[in-house]
Amino acid sequence: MTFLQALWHYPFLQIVMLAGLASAVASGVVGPLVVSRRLAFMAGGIAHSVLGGLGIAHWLGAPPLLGALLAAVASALLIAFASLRIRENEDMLIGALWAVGMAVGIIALAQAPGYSVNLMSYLLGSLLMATRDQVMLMLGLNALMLGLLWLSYRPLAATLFDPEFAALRGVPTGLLYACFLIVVALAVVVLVHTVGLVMVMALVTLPAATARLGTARLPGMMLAACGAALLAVSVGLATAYAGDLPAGATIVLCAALLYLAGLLIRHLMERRRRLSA
Amino acid sequence: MALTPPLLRLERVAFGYADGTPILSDVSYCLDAPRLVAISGPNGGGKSTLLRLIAGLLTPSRGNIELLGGTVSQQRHRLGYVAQHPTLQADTPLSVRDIVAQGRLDARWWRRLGRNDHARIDEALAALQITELQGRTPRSLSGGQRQRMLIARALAANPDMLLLDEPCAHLDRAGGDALMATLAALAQRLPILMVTHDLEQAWPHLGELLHVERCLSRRSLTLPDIHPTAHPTAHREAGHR
Repeated sequence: MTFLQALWHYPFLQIVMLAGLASAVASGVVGPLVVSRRLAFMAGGIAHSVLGGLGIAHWLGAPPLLGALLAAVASALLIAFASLRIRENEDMLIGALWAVGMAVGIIALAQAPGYSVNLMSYLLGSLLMATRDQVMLMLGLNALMLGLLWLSYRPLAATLFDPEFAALRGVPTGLLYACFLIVVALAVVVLVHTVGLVMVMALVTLPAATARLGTARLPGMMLAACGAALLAVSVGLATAYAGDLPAGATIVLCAALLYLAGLLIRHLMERRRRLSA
Repeated sequence: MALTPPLLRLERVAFGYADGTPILSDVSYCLDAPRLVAISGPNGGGKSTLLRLIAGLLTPSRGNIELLGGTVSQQRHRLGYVAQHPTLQADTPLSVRDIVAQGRLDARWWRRLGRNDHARIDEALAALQITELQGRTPRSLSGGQRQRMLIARALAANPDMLLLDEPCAHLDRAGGDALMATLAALAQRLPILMVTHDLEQAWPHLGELLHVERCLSRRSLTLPDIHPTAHPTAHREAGHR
């Protein structure tokens, strides 16, 4: 049975595909902002701190995604507070959050039954195990993320790319920066479920980098990155289904191949332009 | 009859960094009518610091700044400010029009752009002769075009005063002359304070010239000051006390 036939016949695969779609939107919308502002390390820090929330939730018997959400938002707010209020070195704090989050998560998971299975699913993603409730939560987080961005797009862009000017115009840059970090945190939570926290950075950066090869403007970049992420998720899922491979890792490899193909196409186009000139 | 407050009044303003390095001291000045004011002086003399104090990006360690009839914090939103080294990244993924539209931002940041905003953006683009560049991104612009874009963004805010730090720094001679002519025309109705090193280029258009110099000698303990310089055409007192 081909992937498309299976998608038609098995409701669980339709839920998986919907989860993939939610991930593609999260990656496509947030990725270009993160890549353009060179904040991939920060996204990685939030992603790894999420393990602490996942582990504690698992230990307490609470929904893991809720734990992930609380940990991601708390990390985002901590980074925002440190960089805006106490002028702490952001990189140092992110590095600390990264390590401490993982340490807390590993200890908490070690106290709970089924430790190794759960740790691997959080680290490498468990898209094929997605449930209807999880997908609804992912879609809800996406809606919240898109709503926040729609409300604040213009002042947020000014805050991210020229904070001094935005502040001069009376824009509450601290509030908007914190809001942006929360949006990144929401996207990270959505993506952790798909590709696992180890590979979140790949889905945040690769589709955005692919989109950036074709367009220099943010709205176009977001659309193209959504398309690139959707293609990577779809082809990755199909390949993982056909070859019985881990879905998260296959999706990340597809995103990387797409980026390499984009680089090659751009190189060929530039060469052709130079020859014809 | 009530007296009109000055556009800008500095009273014994001083500024130094936390490590104790004095930058400006005892600076007094009064601007009472729109004109093009150039601020010159040696590197490190405090020219840019003075503009940043007026823009509210720095706080004086002593003295008082009265701006457009109020305090700096009350009135800074009425300023257009272009920094010498803007924090705007060269590879910002926004179009020139999007960036100029940032001038229409205000404390009601959630507000959508209306017809009036777009008209003001069009006017600012036209005033700086960059209408045809509005769809491009900053990365594809020359240094001079980028400078014009930043001034257009400041103008789009419909400011009551413009503060420009080295506006001609990235321009060739012809570009600088054209920009100075544009600024001189704007200064008929809009006070402009401009830091510049190139007095020769600015001279024909100036309404006033100020000299800001940080005294480098610690022995004398002389602190920096503003020295208004007589201008052959304007003959205007700079209000130095």
